Amino acid sequence: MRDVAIVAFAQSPLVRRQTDFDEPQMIMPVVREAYEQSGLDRSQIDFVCSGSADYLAGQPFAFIRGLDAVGAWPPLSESHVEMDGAWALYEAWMMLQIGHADTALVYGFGKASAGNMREVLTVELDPYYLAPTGIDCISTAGLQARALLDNSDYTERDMAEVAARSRRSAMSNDHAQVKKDVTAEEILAEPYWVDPLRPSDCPPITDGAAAVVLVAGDRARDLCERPAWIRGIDNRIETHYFGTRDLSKSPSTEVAGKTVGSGDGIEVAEISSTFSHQELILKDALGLQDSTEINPSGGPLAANPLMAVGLIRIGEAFNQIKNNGKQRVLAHATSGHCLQQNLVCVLEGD
Amino acid sequence: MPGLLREAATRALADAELEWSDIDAVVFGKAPDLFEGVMRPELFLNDAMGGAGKPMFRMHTAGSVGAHTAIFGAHLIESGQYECVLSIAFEKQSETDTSRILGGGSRGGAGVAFASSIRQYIEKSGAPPHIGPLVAVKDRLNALKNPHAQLKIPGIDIKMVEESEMVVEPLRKLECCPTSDGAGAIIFTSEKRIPKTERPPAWLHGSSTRSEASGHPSRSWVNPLAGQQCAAEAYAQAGITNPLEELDCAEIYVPFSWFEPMWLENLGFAEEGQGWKMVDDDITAFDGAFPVNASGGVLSANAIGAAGLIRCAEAAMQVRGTAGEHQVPDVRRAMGHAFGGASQYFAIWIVGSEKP
Amino acid sequence: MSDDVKVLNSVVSLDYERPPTRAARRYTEAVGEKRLIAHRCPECERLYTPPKGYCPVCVVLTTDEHEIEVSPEGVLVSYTVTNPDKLHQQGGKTSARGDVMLDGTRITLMGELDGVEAADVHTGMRMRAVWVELEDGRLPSSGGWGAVGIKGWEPTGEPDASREEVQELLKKAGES
Repeated sequence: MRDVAIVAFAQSPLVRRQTDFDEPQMIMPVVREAYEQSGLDRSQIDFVCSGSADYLAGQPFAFIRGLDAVGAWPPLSESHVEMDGAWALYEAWMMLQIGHADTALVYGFGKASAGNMREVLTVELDPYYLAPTGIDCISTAGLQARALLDNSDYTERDMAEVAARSRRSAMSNDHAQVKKDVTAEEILAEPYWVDPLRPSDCPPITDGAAAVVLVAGDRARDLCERPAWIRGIDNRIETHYFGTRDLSKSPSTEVAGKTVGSGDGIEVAEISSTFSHQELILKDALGLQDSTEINPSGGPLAANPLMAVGLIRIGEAFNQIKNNGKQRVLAHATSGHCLQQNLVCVLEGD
Repeated sequence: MPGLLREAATRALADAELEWSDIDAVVFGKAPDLFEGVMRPELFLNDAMGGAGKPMFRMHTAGSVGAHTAIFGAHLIESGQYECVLSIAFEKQSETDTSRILGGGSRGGAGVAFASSIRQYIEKSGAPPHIGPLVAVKDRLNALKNPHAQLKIPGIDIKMVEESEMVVEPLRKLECCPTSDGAGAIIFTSEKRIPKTERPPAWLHGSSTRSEASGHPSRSWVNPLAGQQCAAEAYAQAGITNPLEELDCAEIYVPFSWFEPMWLENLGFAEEGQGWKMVDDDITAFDGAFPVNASGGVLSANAIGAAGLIRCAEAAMQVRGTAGEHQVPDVRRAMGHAFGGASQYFAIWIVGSEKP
Repeated sequence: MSDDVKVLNSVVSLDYERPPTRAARRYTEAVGEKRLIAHRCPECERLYTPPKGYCPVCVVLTTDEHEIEVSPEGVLVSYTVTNPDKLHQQGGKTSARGDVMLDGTRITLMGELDGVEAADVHTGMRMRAVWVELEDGRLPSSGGWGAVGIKGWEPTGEPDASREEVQELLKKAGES
């Protein structure tokens, strides 16, 4: 395996509704900042890969305008996944692995504010058997939370602790959208929204973008004082149908985690626990110890820009190595309802 | 939708004499999700593709996506991290009105934007008007030899094309691709896992992807720089300096007849302004010196997301010698090509019968 | 199983609201006054209309200070005639659409050609913008790939640009 490191990470303000800027305008400053951090200019980037979803924008080929934001002239060696930017990072990492590129820019973006996410994400379900039931993404998460509570020792208080800690952690994150000095008791006092989920168990709706620069080999050390080396990255998907899954567990996360060594000496984990109960499921699936600090950024419960949120987890994990002197950290991204698909990545400092 | 994918994947597995359990990872591609009205349909189609428990990737690079899907599958093998990968792509355009989705309403879909660049090509190159119909006749004759082609028009001739209705000037109906439902699947293995079948593998000699910004004010739709660069990189990887001499045939994404001469120039098979002469001289005909789209091409079936992967697969079939009735004799190296967006996304691969 | 079931209709209806960017708001106001504004990139000096609020070539944001007025007239450099029956244009009519390169710029804008029979359309014609009427101060939904704010183009009646002049314009457009 070729040594590949993250040397730069930038993110936009993560907000409920970005009204001044459209997608290219939202991406452009982020990409510029990532370039500046890396010390590379556009002509020195060998490969570009992005993640986004047409259904967030409500139009076909919504990703094409992203090319404007990265300056695709002269033309770029480029690709796009209809997935979170974390999977775009996987594709870029692969290009570096096979030596077709030595540097790469990865970005992810989404303006979830354009549509009604509870309706839009229903269209992500099987169109023959599930979508016609009209079940929305909060309700599918509710099914999963109920399955967890009834099949484990976890309680609603455990969920509330996660929700409260995430919002408190977000207070020290300049980019976070929902930050609040709140306690588990206060959250437990909220009425249910979709039983057993309370409003604070659920993520906000967020507009935002993020970008990461990858570099292969020793050059990473020239460009970044403390690069984060990708020691393992894997993703796994499981079946779509809730009726054939044990929703209280995440076997796809467990397999991906084992492949990359998730349980071992992880100091910080940035995970895509979109709902509070998912942190409990993911922590077990990844075999994280109690000593592992989870989502110091606040995680998706503090800001949830779809198609960028997973890439931001990887970027936040990189920041832990670069800025906080951590040595071994983990990032996780997810796709689909109820953690159907999961990507796990382990990063190490020098 | 699940049935389409299952059918393609099952046939690919049968061709390779492999089992579902042999597949390590799945790369899935299709064009806009709005075409089927399902957001990221790979999530529910995953079961039909045998993806559960495996890595799964979803590509979307407009009309070039099928070729991207093939190329990324090959990359996974090249990395040494995977031994056997399924690349699979589909489109089921009959699920919605795709012209409306592409046109954003009532103004006419992709043909309008592309017809304009065709008119520019004709103005710049001075090509005579019968070139487009000639391409259409050639591809439709080829389609008669391809059991998978959707449009088969027995007795097709230039008069029939020239008398078909004008759809978007200068394109007549028989110069345009149909809307299609379809899927394609390719299986890649590492060298040590090549299945022992009577059918030899195709070897990847080179691949490239290039994209250019739609918003660039002076980009050309007729001879896009991204297409030129994409071909140049693929040739360099394959050690090709004279593509017309060193390749034996090509499967090029030609959704409207006139794109054949345009892309012949863009891909370096002809000098700028001269591509139409290759068509006029029957060089790209099935029995010509350089057959293009022996399968009948996109003019004969255009399941958009799958079409690029099928171009790549058809090139592979030619070098494997498995193309059946539309097999071109003695193919050693062939190109698969796709483009998308506003003629701004390009993906190319070159495959050969010999290990590079 | 009945053979009568051939299609299951499932209508997916989702509403999206995309607020106009600041550049789009100012462009709309100008269209209301029958003026065409563009942004000039501070680095490469390329012009964009409608203004994007950025230059995709230089990757810089552009703002009000980069705004200039451009001519709403130009030369038809390419066109196509559409047959409505073949293109799902419910109740549509035969129409010509063309690319007009604005005077003094390298910008081509596509739009429907008005005030000229489809059979009489030819490259080199001098054209001017046909403005859309704002509805309550807003641009009507464009519903397609046409230039927003301009309904289409009509002949000015001035003498045509020659074939050489058109080729020169196309060549200019092809230079990066």
